[in-house]
Amino acid sequence: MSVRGISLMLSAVLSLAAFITACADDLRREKTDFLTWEAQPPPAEGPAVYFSAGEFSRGRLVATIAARGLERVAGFALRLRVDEGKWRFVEFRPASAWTRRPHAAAAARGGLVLLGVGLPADSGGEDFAGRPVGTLVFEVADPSAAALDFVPERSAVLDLHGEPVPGVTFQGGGLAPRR
Amino acid sequence: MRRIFIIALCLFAVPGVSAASVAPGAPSLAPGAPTPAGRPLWLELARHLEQVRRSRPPAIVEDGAVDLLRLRLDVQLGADGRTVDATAVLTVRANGSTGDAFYLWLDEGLAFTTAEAPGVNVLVDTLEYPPFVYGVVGFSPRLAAGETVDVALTYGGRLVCGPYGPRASQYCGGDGELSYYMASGLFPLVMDYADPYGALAYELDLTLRTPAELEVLVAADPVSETVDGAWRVSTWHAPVYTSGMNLILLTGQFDVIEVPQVAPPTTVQHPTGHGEYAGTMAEWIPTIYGFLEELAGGPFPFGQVTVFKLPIMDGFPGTATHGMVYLSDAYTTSSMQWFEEILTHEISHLWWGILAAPVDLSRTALMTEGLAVTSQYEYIRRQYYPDLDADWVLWSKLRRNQIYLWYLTEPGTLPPILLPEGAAWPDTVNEQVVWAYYKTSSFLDLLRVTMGDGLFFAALRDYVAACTHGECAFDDVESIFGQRAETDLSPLFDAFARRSYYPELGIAFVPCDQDAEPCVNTVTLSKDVETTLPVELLLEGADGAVLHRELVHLADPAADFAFTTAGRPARARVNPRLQAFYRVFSDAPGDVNFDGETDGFDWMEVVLAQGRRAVHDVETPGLYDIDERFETRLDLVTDGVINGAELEVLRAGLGATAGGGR
Repeated sequence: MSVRGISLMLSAVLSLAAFITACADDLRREKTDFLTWEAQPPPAEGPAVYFSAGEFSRGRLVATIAARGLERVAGFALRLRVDEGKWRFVEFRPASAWTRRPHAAAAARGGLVLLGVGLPADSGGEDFAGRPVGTLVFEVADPSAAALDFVPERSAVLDLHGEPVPGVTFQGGGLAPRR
Repeated sequence: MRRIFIIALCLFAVPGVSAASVAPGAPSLAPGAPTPAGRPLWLELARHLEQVRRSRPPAIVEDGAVDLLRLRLDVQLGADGRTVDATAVLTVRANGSTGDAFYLWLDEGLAFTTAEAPGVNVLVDTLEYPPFVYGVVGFSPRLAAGETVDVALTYGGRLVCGPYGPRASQYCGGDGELSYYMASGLFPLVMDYADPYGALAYELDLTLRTPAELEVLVAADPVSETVDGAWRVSTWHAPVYTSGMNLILLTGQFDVIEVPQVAPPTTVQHPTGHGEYAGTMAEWIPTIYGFLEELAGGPFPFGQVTVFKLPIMDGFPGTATHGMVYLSDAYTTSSMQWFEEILTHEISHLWWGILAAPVDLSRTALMTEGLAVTSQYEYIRRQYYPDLDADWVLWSKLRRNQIYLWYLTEPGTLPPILLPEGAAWPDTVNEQVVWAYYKTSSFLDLLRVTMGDGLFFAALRDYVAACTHGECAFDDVESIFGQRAETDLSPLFDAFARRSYYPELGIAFVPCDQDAEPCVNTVTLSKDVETTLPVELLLEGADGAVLHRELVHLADPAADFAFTTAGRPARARVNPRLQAFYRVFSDAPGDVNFDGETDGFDWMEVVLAQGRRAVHDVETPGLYDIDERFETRLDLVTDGVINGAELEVLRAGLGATAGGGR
């Protein structure tokens, strides 16, 4: 076969591959376009931990935890329930809005995401008046409707003595079909 | 020789307080760790004698042993408070085949002038050990075994009252308002030649001639007092005086407060013009006596007791002796409750060391300082926190013990509570105090948790009954407590008192399922030592209330224990009172709240504590340099500081469970 013939064949193969890839992207975009992030709004009054934003794109869900109505708190011990068959926890990133860099750690276990983020007792604490706490990142293996809920009885905002702040409500979110 | 008591000069001074270093309002009192010595004076002097004996050629070292049956002292103290002219008549009985010698210690400014005994030559070989001088008193010809002789020694000169040891302690001192004089200074301190660590019990008679304008107070029963011209002549007596009782004289002008309705009759005395706190002390004493009577099973068998409130003065922070308790204002600088606690400590020494004095004090402080600390903790608990959980109250006290043991000293090298034969007290002041006061009281609390309060305190009363004016040693203590206990205590005595075990305990907690009926919870314990360990487990609700407590005995390397509870516990913990000796870790790495899993709450506990140190001054730590609120359970790497090392353990363990997820 001539060199020209080989070039033609290679070109054809690459074109086919590009076509297939483009089709797959279109299919995924088409499928995920049906899903959107929806969060429960925080109650009108009182301290709350909730999701202020979320974005589902290219198989990744990025959801921002925020808090409001909290003054001089040390941090957050949170537990969320996820469908581990659909979502894989990737990481938790503390928000840049903290006035001091907080200590943060998170891990997933059996459909739960466990995380802690906060400051030492001698820091003086942090105020949250509708500010982000941090961002959760998941890989979405099964792009279908699913919830991301706090486990309120195992979640708390902690004051500088390590005591839970009373009366905090926890509002979850999730992926839902676009309306 | 009757080996009943050991000389205990200043033995009962409370740890960390050197009056020389105390300033009002300044609670930081302790000398630095590397400082040598600081042992009780009697031990210091006995060790010196032992070293001298060892340095001599063997042929010269003789066995010698005497019983001191009676000591009659006639002492004149001049108007300057330093000039001394005295006679001591010792009735001694040789009780060995060749033995007949003894030592007499005095201030280095005094000298023996004459020595005689009927029918025998008395030889006094005087040696110096500044600020002391001592005579080796022997006989020619030697006394036969069982032979009794009255030896009359005269001595005199001018007291130097020099300080000794790193705490600048003094055996005499003071000023125009108050002066004090102890054995080994103004009064002779007698030691047996064969065994300087040994003890003597004898009858004491003292005639004292002091300037008429000064009042006197002696640690003995008063017999008479007259003023003869320029001299006040007072006589004093004690039917059983012992080496454990430090013969102390105070001179000055004193005010007296009668303590109402206590037995024996008790006064609080203080130098005139220094009455602060004295009335409060008198108010505390009936309660303290009531508590100690219950502990010991009866009132102090003294004709009277005097509690003397000392001003802050060089070298004399406090002690206890025959019917006398001395306590310095230095202890008021922290809080009144602390002062009351330390007053309880000192008064309790009338039992723990004076009346019930172990014969092996040179090897252990278990039944002296250990019991005095136990008494002070329990008194405060009963007096101020009777309605709170006893474990919590006692742990708030015993946490200090744990911090001292783990961080102020090196637990692996701190000697066992019972020193091996021939071993010396630890070298540094920190080690001595932690060993004598805090390791011992931690062990007694381990016994208490194991036995339960009822049996433990019954054993304590047994001890008082058996050992007051008796000859009890460490083995007797083990036997007395063992007879009361429902379990074999000997492994505990072996592991934690004769040796220095610090076992590591693992704990895994699996609560019952939500709404399970009945709620059966499982706790798995593991250990790294062979000794069977008593472990009291506390199953707590989410609010910290104890839902169930049970003492188990962990014999195998690991074992499961099932407990049925009325509600679902949130966590299972080992009684923290045990954790002076036990190092407890959850099987879930980083599960610092022992709820069986490592989660954000554990993370936040460690985050909140970032930067905390068990010991503030890491270069020259002293007894008052610790953070008494330091949470040892958060120190996952046992280095005395909560920092990134703990966070790394938690980060790696986050999400882990001990025995199953939930």
